[in-house]
Amino acid sequence: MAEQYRRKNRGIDITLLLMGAVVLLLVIFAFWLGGWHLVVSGLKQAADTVQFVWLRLLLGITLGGLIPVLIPVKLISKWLGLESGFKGILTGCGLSIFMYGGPYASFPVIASLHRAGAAAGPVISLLTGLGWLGLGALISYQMPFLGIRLSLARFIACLLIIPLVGIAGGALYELMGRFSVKGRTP
Amino acid sequence: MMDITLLILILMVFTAAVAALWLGGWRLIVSGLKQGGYTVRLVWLRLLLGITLGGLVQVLIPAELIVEWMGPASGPSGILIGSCLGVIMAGGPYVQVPIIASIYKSGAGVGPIIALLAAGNALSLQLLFTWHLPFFGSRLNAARYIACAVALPIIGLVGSVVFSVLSVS
Repeated sequence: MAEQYRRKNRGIDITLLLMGAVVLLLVIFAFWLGGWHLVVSGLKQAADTVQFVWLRLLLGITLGGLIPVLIPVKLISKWLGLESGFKGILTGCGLSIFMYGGPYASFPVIASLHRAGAAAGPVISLLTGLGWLGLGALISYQMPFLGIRLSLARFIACLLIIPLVGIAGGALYELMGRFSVKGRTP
Repeated sequence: MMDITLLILILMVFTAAVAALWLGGWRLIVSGLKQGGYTVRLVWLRLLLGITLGGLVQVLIPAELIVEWMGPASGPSGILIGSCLGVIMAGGPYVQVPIIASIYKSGAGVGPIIALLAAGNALSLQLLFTWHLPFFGSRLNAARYIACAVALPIIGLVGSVVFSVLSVS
């Protein structure tokens, strides 16, 4: 795994470059709109986020590290790997309903599953399902603010469409792989 | 202050650690912690940039602008507007859902609201840069983003039909 990680980290990190460029652009934009005051205000918001998530993130990353050593790679391949097909996409949807704890907890776990052999389609359906099917947001925020009927209508519509997103996303990922230059992107 | 999410996370980590200890002793726990270390090395700089970006987005996009675009006059193109607005939605559900609820109360249709709710999770640039890109890179996110963008208007349409069915029943 360490060697695989080192191999992945050679070359230009396009994701990092892209993010650095966007941050720089937004800093310039904020400075242009409101001077250093607005830039500092944005950085303070970021500091608040760090204060809120750091412990959760640390726990999520620890959990993400433990899961691949606890779940055999063969099992991950069987249920979420390339050969899992439509079953893998449905498994991804199903898992997303019961995943708990926000991106700081779930993303390190899903990233670990992806590195351990979960294919793009199931990972995309799992990531999409986190936002669309998560019971935490449904019960804690949507039902109180928007009522049960509208929340349920959204949930059912998303449940029906997510497998299609998984299939289309997986196909697009493979298609992009044929045209991409090998880089650091995981 | 300790909260439920944090408690559940601690419980999950503790359970996984006990299971690892039981299955393979300290060696397996250390192996799991090393995996966590690789993740930290991969994402720490991206995450720092993403969180900075999230803070800047929150001060640059006023909530009033979002309300203006999704108000009562949005008409039949509301579903598409709702889908597109997801791109600029920022913050967690505790920020997004109250804003969307206020748009709904001001007269927006069910379809646009459902599309906006789904788009806020799927297409939000803040979420993309803060969380998705640091952990999953450009290729997987590009595939996910395109697939979701195509699916959102369908979700808005299907959701409004389901809403009508639920209203009748």
